[in-house]
Amino acid sequence: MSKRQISMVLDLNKCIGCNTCSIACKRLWTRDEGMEYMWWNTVNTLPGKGTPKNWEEMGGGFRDGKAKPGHIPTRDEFGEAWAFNYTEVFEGGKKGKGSHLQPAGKPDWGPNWDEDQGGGSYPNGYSFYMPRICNHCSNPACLEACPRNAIEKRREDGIVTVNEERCRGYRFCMSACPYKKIYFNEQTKTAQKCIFCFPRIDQGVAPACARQCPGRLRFVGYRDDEEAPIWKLVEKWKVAIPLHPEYGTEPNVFYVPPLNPAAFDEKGNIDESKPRIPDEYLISVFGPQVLDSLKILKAEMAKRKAGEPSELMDILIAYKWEDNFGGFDRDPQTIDWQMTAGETHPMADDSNGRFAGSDEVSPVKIIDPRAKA
Amino acid sequence: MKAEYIKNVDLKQLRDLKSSFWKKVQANKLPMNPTPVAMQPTQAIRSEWEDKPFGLVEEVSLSAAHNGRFIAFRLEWKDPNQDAKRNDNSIFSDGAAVMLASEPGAPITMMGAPGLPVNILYWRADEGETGRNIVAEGIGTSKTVDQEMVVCTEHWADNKWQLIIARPMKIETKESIAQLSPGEDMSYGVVIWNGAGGERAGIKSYAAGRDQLVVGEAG
Ligand code: SF4
Ligand code: SF4
Repeated sequence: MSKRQISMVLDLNKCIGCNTCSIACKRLWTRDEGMEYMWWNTVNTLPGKGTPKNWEEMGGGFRDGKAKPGHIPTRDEFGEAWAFNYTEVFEGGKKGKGSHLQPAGKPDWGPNWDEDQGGGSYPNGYSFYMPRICNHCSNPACLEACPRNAIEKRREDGIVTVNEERCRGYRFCMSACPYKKIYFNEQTKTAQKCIFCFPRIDQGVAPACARQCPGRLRFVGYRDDEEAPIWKLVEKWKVAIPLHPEYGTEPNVFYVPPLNPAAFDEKGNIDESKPRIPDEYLISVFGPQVLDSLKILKAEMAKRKAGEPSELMDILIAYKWEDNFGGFDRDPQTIDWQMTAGETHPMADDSNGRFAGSDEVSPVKIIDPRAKA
Repeated sequence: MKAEYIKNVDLKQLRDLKSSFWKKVQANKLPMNPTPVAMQPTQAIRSEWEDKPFGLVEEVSLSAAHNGRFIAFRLEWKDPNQDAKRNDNSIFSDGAAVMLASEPGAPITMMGAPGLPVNILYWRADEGETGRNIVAEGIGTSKTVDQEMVVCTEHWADNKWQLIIARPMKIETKESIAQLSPGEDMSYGVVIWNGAGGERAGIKSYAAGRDQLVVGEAG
């Protein structure tokens, strides 16, 4: 057990599916060889197959307190990092013919392949975005599964990390994690996963996915900090709930579920008695607590509409962006990462990101993503 | 079984699967068994493998020879697939290891015990020639102490692996590895992982030698 637990809440009503979070993470952590296909942060459209493809059917986690066997997602299921014809497009091309940018081969799956497909049918089609990171679970199935004790849960904040010195690439964690948030690196032959940007957390800086989110929908902080949004959203207002609580790993990432508009009837009139997103679907994703959460949200919205104050609405509106971060609000640009990361840190000499600067978007600088910095 | 003393061979010859002396060294056939599911260290592994077959390799032939400075173990077993490359997350490599008791009484089947270490000379197909010198004091405690001292020669053909794992008999180190001298004996075992069956870690075939491994004396 960790002494305190760091946590994230994501308000799904504000997610625009832009994947800025995914890119912020990619730029910071998964640019090395062997990591090309990794997206520690993913954003998918629900209903949908997700990343990896059909991950909700891959098992893992615990049922009735017992470990449930799981499947190791293949590279195809995650979606390969496609090779593009950059040289042809930018420097060559065929004489007299234009070339357009395209991946080699004929890919038939990728990390956000079924974007915006959603579910339902006209006029009651519906969809919402689902950004996901590792849940830094309180009962992590990945940690339980590892025979080498290579997965650690940090005492000070409960962040779950892989100790790559101990990892021998056995991948039991990959079958055990029911959220399928662990990748295998073929170069290092080790498992790799979201680290909740712990080198930033150690310096009081929120994770890159949270700071970079233009929707300002990510909240960060300790679960027991009663002054901060996490505790208020999860414990006090009980509107933030975990994804698939039935997996039994006790996630520490929570979601404010999507508010559900009313459905249209056969005549095309709004029927207030029927929700557009079927309750059963929401329950299958977030568990039965989702209906209570939506009730509370609607009641507070109504209060606010009537001109009454609502603490809950004020938090979710996020008037002051820094207030989302439960004290982890330091600007990464103000930190000398080279020094704090230490000279022996394997990433300290990467001059093009990571510890050298910050995640904030740099002035226009186009880099061929295939070129090694 | 006996690690025969072979006169006038160097390490290169000891490591050569084709060296003629191997024909004169007696090969011991050891029946292999899957490690019991109950002995697997985590719930996730036990629940995944309780109904799934593993320990696919049923027999290994083991012989051993030394030249006074280096010792070589020769292993041969049937395996219809050569699993050496990992080109997907769900693909695993073949592997094999010889286990030696570093201390008298170290339990081979338990991979040692606290205070009773075993020394594991380890090969994995995707790591090739470079073997690992590993020490363990019980299941789940294995630790690579170096990747220099153990060298391997491998060959797969006709549905069969042939492998030599060699090491200096004595290594100066603080780690509790087995130090071998002519005339001594120790308990031993063999472990094999069949990658195609998803075997890795404790999911494997093992054989514990019923006798002692005797290091042959010169003469
Ligand atoms: S989400 Fe998966 S990888 Fe992350 S802590 Fe939970 S079980 Fe482990
Ligand atoms: S950056 Fe924010 S708004 Fe954009 S996809 Fe990620 S979570 Fe959603």
